[in-house]
Amino acid sequence: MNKPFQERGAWTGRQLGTDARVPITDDLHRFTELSARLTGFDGVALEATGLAEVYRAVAAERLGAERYARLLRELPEPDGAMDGELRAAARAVTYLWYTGSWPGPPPTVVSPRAYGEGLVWKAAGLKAPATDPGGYGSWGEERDGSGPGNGVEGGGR
Amino acid sequence: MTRYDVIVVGAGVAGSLVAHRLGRHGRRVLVLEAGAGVPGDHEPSADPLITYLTAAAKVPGSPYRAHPAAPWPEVTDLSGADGIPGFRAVGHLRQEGPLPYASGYVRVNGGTGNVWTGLAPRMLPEDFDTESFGYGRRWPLTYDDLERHYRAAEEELGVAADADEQREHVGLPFPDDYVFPMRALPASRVDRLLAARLDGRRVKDPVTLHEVELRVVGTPHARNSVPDPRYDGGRGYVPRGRHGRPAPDSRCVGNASCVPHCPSHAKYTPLKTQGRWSTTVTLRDRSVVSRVLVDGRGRATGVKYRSYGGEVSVAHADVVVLAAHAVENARLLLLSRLADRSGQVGRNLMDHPVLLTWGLLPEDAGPYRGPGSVSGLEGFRTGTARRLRAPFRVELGAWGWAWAKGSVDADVHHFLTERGLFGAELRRAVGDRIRRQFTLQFEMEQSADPANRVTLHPHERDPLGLPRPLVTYDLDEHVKEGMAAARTVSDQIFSLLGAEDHTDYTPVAAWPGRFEHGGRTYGYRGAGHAAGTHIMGDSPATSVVDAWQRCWDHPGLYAIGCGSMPSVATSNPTLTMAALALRSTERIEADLAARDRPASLVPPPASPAAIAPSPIRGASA
Ligand SMILES: Cc1cc2nc3c(=O)[nH]c(=O)nc-3n(C[C@H](O)[C@H](O)[C@H](O)COP(=O)(O)OP(=O)(O)OC[C@H]3O[C@@H](n4cnc5c(N)ncnc54)[C@H](O)[C@@H]3O)c2cc1C
Ligand code: SF4
Repeated sequence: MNKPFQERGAWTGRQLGTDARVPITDDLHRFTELSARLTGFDGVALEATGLAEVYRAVAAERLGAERYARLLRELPEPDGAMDGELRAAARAVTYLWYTGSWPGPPPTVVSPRAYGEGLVWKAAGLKAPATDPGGYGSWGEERDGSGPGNGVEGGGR
Repeated sequence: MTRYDVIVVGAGVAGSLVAHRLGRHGRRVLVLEAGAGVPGDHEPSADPLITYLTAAAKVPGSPYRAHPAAPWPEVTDLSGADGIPGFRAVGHLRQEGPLPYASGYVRVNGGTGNVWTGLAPRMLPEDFDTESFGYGRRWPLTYDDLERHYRAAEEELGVAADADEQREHVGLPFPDDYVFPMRALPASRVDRLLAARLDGRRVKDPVTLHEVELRVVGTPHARNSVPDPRYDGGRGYVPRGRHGRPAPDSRCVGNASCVPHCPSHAKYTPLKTQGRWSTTVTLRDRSVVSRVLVDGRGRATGVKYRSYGGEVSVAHADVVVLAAHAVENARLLLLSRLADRSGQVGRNLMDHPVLLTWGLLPEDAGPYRGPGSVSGLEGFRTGTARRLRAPFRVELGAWGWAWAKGSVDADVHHFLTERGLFGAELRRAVGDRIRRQFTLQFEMEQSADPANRVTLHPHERDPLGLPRPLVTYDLDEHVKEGMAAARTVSDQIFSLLGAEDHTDYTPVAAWPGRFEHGGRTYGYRGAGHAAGTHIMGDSPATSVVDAWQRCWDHPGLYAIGCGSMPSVATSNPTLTMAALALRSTERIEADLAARDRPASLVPPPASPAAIAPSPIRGASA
């Protein structure tokens, strides 16, 4: 089998969120709160990824100070009432949390860690490929095996 | 000055194996490799894992960055377009056929064998001669001729499989006492679910009107599982880890990233073979071979190659082995204007065109947790059905919809933008969708057609000034009929599974391989299984190499790899290619041994050109 996933583009090279000019203020708390509403994961889960700070900086950098401030200020209940600009900003931040990359084209992966912590995997109860293997035979188990190799014998089908 | 017995061009699976075996005989082997590798470490420079993790598109070549001097075709170089021809190709491999050749390869040390999936099934005895089914080309050797080499290849690649299961459900004639180096991998969750609902059920082939019984069968894998203590007459087998070092505890741990990189080194790569090379084997990376040199009688004497800076060097040896991948081997022969008495160099390009169908199971399919495909359905590979449609093997895809739709990011995008979901709803929808995803991958046999070919582009050149390869490619009726049958088989399987079918070959841009057949639209992908470009046969009038992969007209010149295969059958081709390479090595070693015998045993020279001392000269670089 071959696996030419049909996505376009390539990594642009620069790690995002490393040179954001927005000063770190106490809006981190508000950013996390907003993110919890957008993603459906609570603040504790989001903080556990270790990426809240980085994503705050990425969002601020990519949205620009004004749109970022507006997103935080209006703290939208994400619903039909959002206007186009707010909706686009909310989607981008949600996409960032779910996939670890800022939407493209092409999307920009923030860091290996961001890829591994993507909420998309957590939503499905899985681990991102190549980041936290389940151990030998884990692919045959009922639920996610996240421990080390468990010595399941082969050949039993 | 070092003197070489053999020059091997390309350090992929084929080249690395040949160098390894000849090195074991003490032969001085120079391996010239276009791609980058760190000398002494055998690994391409940047950390492939980090490069892969941060790549936006997790395509086969994504762990590596191509150097402009040794470019390769990436699947993202192709995109679909409205109109005829309905696709666009940019990058290294140019195209002008009705349909796209949809496969890529990579040029780094270790070659495409770094990024392959690692499925290692054998071909079936009947695959070596499909002429009796009315299509294809006959091999100049049989399954039995290759059997011994298959075993050797299974040892070199470290294959995990169950011989009883292969005998009973695939039809391979294993002797009673054969065991593979390692035991079969445990079935994946999707395999078990499908087996529970499909085993013993029958589906109707719409083309042949035959009923075919379904059975989920484990696929042989070149990746570490539990070693079989019975292997090798009870001596057992020691799994190999990074760089081929003995690693008794190395196991496939389920990273689910074998394409393109296995971080735990459970999957076979040519770097494992390179790690076992004797000291008589020298790897020279960043060396792009541009020409094969022959003497006045056509005997190979060496090669010309270029550094990334364009500096030209020459190396000489008694035997030159081209192992640069099917497309690049053809390009090299064409650049050298050699071996083309039959007019077949570059022709007969084959692949396994793959029809994908995908959907949602009623329950958790357990995707993204192990190898890309652990098992398959084998019932469509054989028999008289082949007369009417291409035979195919069905791989059960265990990585959700990745091959069909891209990574899970596509699902997030879908729910965010098309469904407008956020918060708990989004979380539930994304989780549910991904957990239930599965894919069926129908890999069609495509037979040798001289019109499907690689030529040199008339004016496009790569940065070293070498003409780029140009491909003309199409699918014939036999293949299209195979795909039509596959789609109907898929429909029946989905209904037996109670699965929701989400197969859809839009948007156009995502499906460069699109065609209509019998009123239905199909989209295919390439399997990466390039073959046929220096086809093997029993006559110099109709083939490029003989049964030993020797170029008919050039003593001492071998072209090895899938390019020699007269048919690709329905098996992933690398194990067969490896078996052929090991077989050729015996021939090469015999040639060299004959050369080394006392002079009186060597037939007298036939022309003045041959009077020169044995044509071993030092490499001048
Ligand atoms: C995504 C993917 C998945 C695959 N999965 C499977 C699978 O599961 N099972 C299977 O059987 N097969 C699989 N294949 C096919 C398999 O990878 C190939 O059959 C195999 O790697 C071919 O080996 P090779 O040695 O002929 O060529 P390669 O591995 O491509 O090696 C050729 C080498 O030659 C070098 N080279 C090229 N040009 C020159 C030059 N001019 N001078 C010097 N060096 C040169 C290259 O850099 C490279 O290192 C897959 C392929 C792909 C792309
Ligand atoms: S599933 Fe993981 S450990 Fe196993 S071969 Fe693939 S990448 Fe390696």
